[in-house]
Amino acid sequence: MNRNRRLAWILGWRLASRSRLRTLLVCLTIALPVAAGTGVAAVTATARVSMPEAEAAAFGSADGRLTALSGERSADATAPARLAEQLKPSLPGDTRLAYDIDVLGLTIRGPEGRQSTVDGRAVNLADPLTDGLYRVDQGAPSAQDGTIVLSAVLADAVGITKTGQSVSIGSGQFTVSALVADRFDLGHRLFALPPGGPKATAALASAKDLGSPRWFVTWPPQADLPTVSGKLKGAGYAYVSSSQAAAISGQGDAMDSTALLVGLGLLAETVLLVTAAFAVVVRSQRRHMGLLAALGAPAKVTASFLRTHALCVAMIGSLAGIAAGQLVARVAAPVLAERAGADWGPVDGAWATSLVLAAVAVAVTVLASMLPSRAALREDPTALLKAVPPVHSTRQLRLRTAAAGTLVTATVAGLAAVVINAGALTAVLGVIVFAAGITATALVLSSLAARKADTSYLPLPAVFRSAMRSLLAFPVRAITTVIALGVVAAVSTTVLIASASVAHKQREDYLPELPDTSALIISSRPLTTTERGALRSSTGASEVSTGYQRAAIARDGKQLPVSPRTDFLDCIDDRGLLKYGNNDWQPCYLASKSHIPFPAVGIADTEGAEALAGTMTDEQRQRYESGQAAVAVTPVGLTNEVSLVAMGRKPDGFVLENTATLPLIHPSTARKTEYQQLPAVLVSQAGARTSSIIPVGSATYLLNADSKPAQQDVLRALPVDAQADSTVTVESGPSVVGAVARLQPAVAAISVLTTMLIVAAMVSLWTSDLRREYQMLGAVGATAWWRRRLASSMSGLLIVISCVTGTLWGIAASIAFLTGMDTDIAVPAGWLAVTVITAVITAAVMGGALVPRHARAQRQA
Amino acid sequence: MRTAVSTTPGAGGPDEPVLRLEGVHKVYGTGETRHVALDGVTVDFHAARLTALVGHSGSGKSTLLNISGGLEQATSGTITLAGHVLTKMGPAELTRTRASLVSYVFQEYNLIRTMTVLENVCLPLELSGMARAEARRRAATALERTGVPRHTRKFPDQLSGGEQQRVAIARAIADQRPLVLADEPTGALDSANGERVVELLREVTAGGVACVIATHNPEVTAAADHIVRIQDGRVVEGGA
Ligand SMILES: Nc1ncnc2c1ncn2[C@@H]1O[C@H](COP(=O)(O)OP(=O)(O)OP(=O)(O)O)[C@@H](O)[C@H]1O
Ligand SMILES: [Mg+2]
Repeated sequence: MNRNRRLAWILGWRLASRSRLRTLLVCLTIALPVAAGTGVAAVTATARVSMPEAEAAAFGSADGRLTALSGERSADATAPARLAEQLKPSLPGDTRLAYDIDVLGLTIRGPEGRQSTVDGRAVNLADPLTDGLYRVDQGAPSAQDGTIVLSAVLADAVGITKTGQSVSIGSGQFTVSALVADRFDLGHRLFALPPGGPKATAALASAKDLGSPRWFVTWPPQADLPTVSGKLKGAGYAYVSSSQAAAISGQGDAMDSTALLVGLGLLAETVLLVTAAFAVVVRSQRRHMGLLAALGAPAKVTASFLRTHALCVAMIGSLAGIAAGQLVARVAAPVLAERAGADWGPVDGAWATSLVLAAVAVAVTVLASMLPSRAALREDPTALLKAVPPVHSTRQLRLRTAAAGTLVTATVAGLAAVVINAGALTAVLGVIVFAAGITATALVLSSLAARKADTSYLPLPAVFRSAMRSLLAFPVRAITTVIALGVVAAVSTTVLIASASVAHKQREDYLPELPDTSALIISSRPLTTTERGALRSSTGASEVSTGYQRAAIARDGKQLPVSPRTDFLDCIDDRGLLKYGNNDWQPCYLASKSHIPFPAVGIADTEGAEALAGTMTDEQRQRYESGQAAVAVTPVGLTNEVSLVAMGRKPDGFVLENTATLPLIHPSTARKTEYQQLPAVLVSQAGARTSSIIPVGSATYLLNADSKPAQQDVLRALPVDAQADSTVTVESGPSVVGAVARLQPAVAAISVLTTMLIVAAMVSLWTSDLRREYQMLGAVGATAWWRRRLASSMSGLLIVISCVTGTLWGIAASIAFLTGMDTDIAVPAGWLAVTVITAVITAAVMGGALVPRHARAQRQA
Repeated sequence: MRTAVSTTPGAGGPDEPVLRLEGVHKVYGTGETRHVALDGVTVDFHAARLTALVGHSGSGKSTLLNISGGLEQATSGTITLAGHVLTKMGPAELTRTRASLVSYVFQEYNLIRTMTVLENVCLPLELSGMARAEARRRAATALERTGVPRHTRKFPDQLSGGEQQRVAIARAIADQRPLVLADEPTGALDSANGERVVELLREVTAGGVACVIATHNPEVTAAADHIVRIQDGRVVEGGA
């Protein structure tokens, strides 16, 4: 037994180490998919916003958040102790709270007088409940009044280089205790002040606005949450548990399903490539198998020698693959993270996935080696000794090949469809399309070619005809290769289309905050016509609108913001109350179809309205000016009439108050997209008066340019006295879209490169398999040049057939999958063309280059 | 794992042939492609006797050798090898029998490329259950006898055709199996090398082995103790 195993190891290992080129190629066909899979898995795992990360960013280490339902600025907002006192009766004893309130528009001045007006929060980051909200880069957050925490980008903007330096807010001085970063948006300018102290209270008073008070909360172990929650609601507080974070981490899903698709594709590739490669390896070992039998070696020695060989090669290949994949991930992840503007944290090697991949690759390889070796072992030793495989009844073998190919592809496609949760029908369709397609096309093409190859009028150069005949001399081998390479082409097509489509979908789903050629200026004081003119000419803008303001209604001495009534009102519960406080409207906004944020009505004169909404006809302009109609800035979710509503406060929560209903003008040149920063609906001053709406807040100006304006340029072009406290916003996309879109070329390039290498490996195997035939051709007088052309044409022909077949079926499969995923299809035609051309050139060059130069006959088989 | 098969030459008695074929038929293919390669062959091969198997190309020499060693199954007839009836055996049992009773020498490509010369010679010894050290010793002796002792660590590709063939014969004699079947062993060699090979086979035979050589080479035929001529699958001279 041990003796046999030792023999198997010697034979298996020597086969790997003695034919190095072939071993290298086979290892490559195993290593490439494993490397690609490992790399993709590691980068995805690194980039993925995990549930714990998402929870930490939104909820710190707390159980959840409590929000005061009151939408207005509370008199007590800067006195957390007093607010907590009011909250106490509704809470179980031992509840731990950490106060938090959004602070909007606070001007922070650095030591050299550089200043920035930014949003931040009043929260004590030294409280353990807030652990994980931000990444602390320097220092440690302090609970002391008179300290402040800045994000590194904000610190940079105001000229702070290290902790311990001071900034001023109004007349107060604050020591910077820590520099932090928002992991998901490294460009985020923000600050955090520990609330409650006199200095913090004075600073908050100078902010433009404050959000609703809110607490991070951790319940005592025995708390009865439903009861507590009900009690809180009655008292005017909403509880959101940290499980809400699921919505945030859900963003990773699209990326995950792409990675999965890539993974399954790679698996299919591995199966087929390795099967094809081992068909070649076993064929090369026929003579040895026959000799072993003649010497009296039991069949199990022969079988286990080939299995051992497969094991050696698979181990080397998959280990190399893991190493390469990890290396690539380690190099690529930080670069990609930086380009995405996010902190992905340390590289997650996704070792479990890598090892599973490697194990699958090893198993697949060993299985792939067993199939042909078993088939060969069933033959007579004398047949094996003849070295050339017998020509079986071709039909039977073709059918067998077809059946095997169909089975493998069907399984993989089926798995993919199930895992990505495609609709049942499209899944079935996908399976049929993908599986039957390639096999059937290969069979049809081969039988067509077989019939035409010998006709002299076939309009092909002689060398192509010879190439075709040579291919058809080994029909089974040709078909297997076409199927294997066809699947490679199909998979890379699917990968290209899927990644392009996902990037496209994310771009579509992303609602930009502003048109990308516009800047929004919230000016500290109204600008005169001359100043607007100067602004326009010094920034080269095409247009600067007149100022507009937010609309509100006055109730009990408070100003309630006004919105158009749209389907965001899904978030109203059965008692007519809003389900969330206005700090937590995101879930509501995200669930609505129109995506109109709240509040979203502005008051503008006609000129301003036209700059924002588009040119109106004279009649429309007249109706707008007289206050008989409002104008829609964007058409999404709005009809020909709009109800203006305000969020009013009831003892137990928010309700919507109808203020007015107006006909709505849709200018023919209106914007097609909804922008968060722009109001959805505008009314004129006259319209505001008739609907009892008042303008509130600073005057806002929209600057339209031909290309994306630079924030700094616009700020510098403002009048000097207005620069200090004005804010300028320009469009900047969220990081995730940037990441996927920027990753696209990388994915495409990797896919092209992989295809190229696989084609190179396959063609090399194929050519090395035919070495003897080429030498023989040389011996009977064919020049080296002619032999090379023959080999090039043969490989080129093979690849053209494979690519055409594979690409078409890849497109079909992608359409099936993407329809199942409910995603629009984006076909990156350029990349597809690059893939096909690269593959054909690689094949032709490799085919020619590997033909043995000499015509000398070989001594050993 | 020494095989159950007895290795005593001529198990049935001193005059019994090592190998006996009785009425052996071999038919390839069916219908139109049907071809009778052996047509009722009855022939004996004795120990310590060098038999030359001659006949035209396609007459069935290789087929006869392959069937005699159990590489192929006869269509009908009886083959008795050292008292064992091969025609009743399945493939696994045939392999086991070969491992203890039969050595092959082919025209070329006799050696396993991925094994060194020494490993190639050791292979049948180890397959028939010998300990490694003993196998190496015997292999070295055999290589010395065939005149290629300097090349033990080389791989077959690094040897000349004649040297390769001598290694193959070393492998055949190292294990002292009672039957050596050689199919045109000199076919790919020049006459000097061919003579060397025949000489070696004669030595082997002198050691008590039954040696059968299928050949077209008159020099081999001249050196043989006995000649079996075969024509269209029938033995026309030297049969039993
Ligand atoms: N596997 C096979 N299938 C069909 N016919 C076969 C097969 N092997 C041999 N034959 C036929 O059997 C006949 C005998 O073949 P064999 O190889 O025994 O001839 P041979 O005497 O060894 O010839 P040579 O001197 O050329 O080697 C030949 O006609 C051959 O065509
Ligand atoms: Mg022959």
